[in-house]
Amino acid sequence: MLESYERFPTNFLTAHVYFTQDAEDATLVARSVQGDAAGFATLVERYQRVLYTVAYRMLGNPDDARDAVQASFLKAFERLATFNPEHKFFSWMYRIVMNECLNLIRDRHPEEALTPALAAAGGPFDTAVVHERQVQVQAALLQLSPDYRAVVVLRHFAGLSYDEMAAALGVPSKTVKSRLHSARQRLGERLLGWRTE
Amino acid sequence: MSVRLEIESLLQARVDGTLTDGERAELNRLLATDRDVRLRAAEIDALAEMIDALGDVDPPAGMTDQILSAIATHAVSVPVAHNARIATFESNTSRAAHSGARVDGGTVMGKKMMWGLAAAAVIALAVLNYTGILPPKEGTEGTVGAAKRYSASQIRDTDVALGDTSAQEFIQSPVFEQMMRDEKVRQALADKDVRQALASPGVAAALASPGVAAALASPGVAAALASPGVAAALASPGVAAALAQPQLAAALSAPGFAGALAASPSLRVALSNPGLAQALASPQLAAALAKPGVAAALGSQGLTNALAKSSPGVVMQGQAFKAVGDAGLRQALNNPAFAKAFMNADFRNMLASPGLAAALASPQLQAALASPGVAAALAQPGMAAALANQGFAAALQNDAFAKALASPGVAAALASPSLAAALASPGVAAALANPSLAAALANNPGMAAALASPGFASALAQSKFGEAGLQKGEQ
Repeated sequence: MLESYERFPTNFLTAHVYFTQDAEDATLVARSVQGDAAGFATLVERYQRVLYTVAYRMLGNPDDARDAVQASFLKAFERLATFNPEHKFFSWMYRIVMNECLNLIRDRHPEEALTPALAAAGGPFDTAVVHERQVQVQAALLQLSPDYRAVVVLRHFAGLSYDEMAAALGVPSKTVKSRLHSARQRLGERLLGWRTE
Repeated sequence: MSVRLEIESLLQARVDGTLTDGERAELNRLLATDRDVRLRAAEIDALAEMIDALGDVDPPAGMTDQILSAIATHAVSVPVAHNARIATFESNTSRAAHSGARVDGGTVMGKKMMWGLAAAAVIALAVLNYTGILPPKEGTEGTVGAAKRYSASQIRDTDVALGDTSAQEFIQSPVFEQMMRDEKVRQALADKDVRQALASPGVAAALASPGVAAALASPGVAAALASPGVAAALASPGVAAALAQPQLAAALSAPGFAGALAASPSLRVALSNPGLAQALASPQLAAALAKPGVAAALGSQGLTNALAKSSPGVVMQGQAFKAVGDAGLRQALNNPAFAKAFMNADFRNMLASPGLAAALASPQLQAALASPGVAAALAQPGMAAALANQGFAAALQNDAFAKALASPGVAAALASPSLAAALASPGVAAALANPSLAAALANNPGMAAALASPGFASALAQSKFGEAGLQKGEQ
């Protein structure tokens, strides 16, 4: 009975689970530094999808997301030799991607609206409803401050733990936890009518 | 729903899967006993599920390729040791990312162009480096620029490793610049079939030739490469081996050869013939192929079909093959019978005779050669000897005779072995150069039929009779 109250960790409910492969990543990084092209190519292939998702959720625009991910991998490659193998490659990558996204957001002109890209209209009613809801959620995400948005995105779309998010964002775990709580509260207020704290 | 902060924290931790055993037990107790906690848990679950429902976003098609291409294009190197050559990628990329454009080599390009160029760059780098055109230098650290997917099942991961300075030197070379600025090259290298062909070990080995590398800069080669059929041909081990020859590499850049490759499926089939490929590796033939006319001749279906079925090495390495470059002969080679005859050594020797080569420039003769009957007649073994006769060759330069050749009657007469023997006579051959006789042959079916008569031909072979008969014919 009590088990029914258990909830799987966020994002692990979905089919898209990103199991990190730390040891393998470290090997691939080492190979890449030695000039093995396939090594870095494997890392790109392994993480490009989740990193693109993270960038898209942060930026709300496919072109910007693509630019951010590309620039991140380029920076990562350029600095590969400085990568500390004691750390996790994916945490490092998330940090680079997140910084790239935050820089893009910071440099945006104020008049640029943070609205999600809408897909073409049409289709069955249910699909339209689901789509509309997703647009609302994405819009609500984009209305969060970048700091709050980052923790929600990393938690829900990259499946990072508090410590991993802390490493990616360069803040203490407690800050991550606090931001995540506040971010969810704001999203709940906007999306589900939660009472303002 | 409002719950105490510590309970809220537990509920958040539950969503995030970070509860300790003690926390989980405490929360479960609260959930079982406190309705407000259950309601709040449901709210948080609902929110989490709404967020999760957004799901992943599919990256743009080919993003991995684009990333790897961009690395190669920007010549980014791993900044290690004392030998690091750090590109100004960071500032460029940052600026470009914010402006919607890319900066490459000091040139501001639109996104679309940049993607195409980058895709081509990584392929070129992967192939060229793999093949040894860009050998890693001692003491340098590696540069990644090749996509694993390009090597796929044909090139092992370990085979694709780019040396950084050599790769960068290549990127900065005029050849690379020329390649990347050529839209056809970019399009060609972006073609999946071309990439697969380039990734095959055989082609890769062929591309190790510096001449081939240089040839890649040729727009003609690029256009040829853009054809899937050409790519498939290049993937043929025999063709690839042939391409490894510097001379053939030079021929590859000849507009005619590349054009023939692109235009002629039969040539591509023929090129897959190991014997032909081997023949193509002949320095003499390769040099000949560099001539546009000869290269274009390879596009002749008749020739290539014939070559594919015979011993092309023997055929093509002879001096006679150079005559293939002539437009008239090319046209004739489209005739299957003539192409078959071309496989005959005597016939080829005949074609190599200076007199006949000149005769082949005649539009009339070219038209005659296009006639199946004439082609078949000329392909006779006995006729070859006649054709090698300079007098007959001179006669062929007579437009009237050439025109006469195209008439069905003359063609049928020429098919007569006895006439062929008679034509080997210098006197008869010389007589045929007479415009009047040629005109008579063309206009008088009976005379053409008479030519095929064994007795008449035999008489013609006797010089005196021939001279007399021909003089009579003039009247």
